[in-house]
Amino acid sequence: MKKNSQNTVIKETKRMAFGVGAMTVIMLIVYAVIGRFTPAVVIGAALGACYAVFNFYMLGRTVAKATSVREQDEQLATMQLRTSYQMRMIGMLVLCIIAFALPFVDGLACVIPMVFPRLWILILQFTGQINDE
Amino acid sequence: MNMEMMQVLAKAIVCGCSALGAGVSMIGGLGPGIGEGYAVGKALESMARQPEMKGTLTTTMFMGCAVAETTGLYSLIIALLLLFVNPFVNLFGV
Repeated sequence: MKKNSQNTVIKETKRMAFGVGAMTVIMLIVYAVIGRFTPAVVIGAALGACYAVFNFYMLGRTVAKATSVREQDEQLATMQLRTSYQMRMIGMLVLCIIAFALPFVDGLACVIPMVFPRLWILILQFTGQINDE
Repeated sequence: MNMEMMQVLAKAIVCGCSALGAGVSMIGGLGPGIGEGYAVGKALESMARQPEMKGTLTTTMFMGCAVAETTGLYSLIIALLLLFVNPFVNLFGV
């Protein structure tokens, strides 16, 4: 059962990575169209997209871990998820501060891909690919 | 007080208010943490009742948590924009 959860997490992360990658490419095209395409934007977008996928994977791992505990450990599962959320938020904050501080990374281009997982889930819901499972 | 001093003062007030706004916007980061924990609790209850639904419940909760977490992310982004991009500094000719 545990292996099944891991497989689900990996499968969903792959699907998310594809969506985030596609949306990042679209974002870079938009940057090019408005004339703001620089190497800093590419580095920022790559960093942001990688962190967005990593964040999703870590969320999935935590959910799989939390749901594998027994019923009487409900408190433990809740605490695991809350701790994971806070750690991931801190990681994101640190990455964003680094992106805004470094001159060769575009901060805004780093932040924007982090909302792409939400958009991708919306697209998946809209196309009915989540409900199919 | 000359014009230059006035501009420096106005800029300082705007920066201070931006920092306050960033702090207030991070209150939005509390919600997802509480909500996700609650969702996991309820999911575990459901799994205890219907163990055969575990796979479906995990996938649904996984997606639900990702959606819930975005609210916190929005507040983080707004806070970062207020702190680092300072969109209001150049407003009103400051």
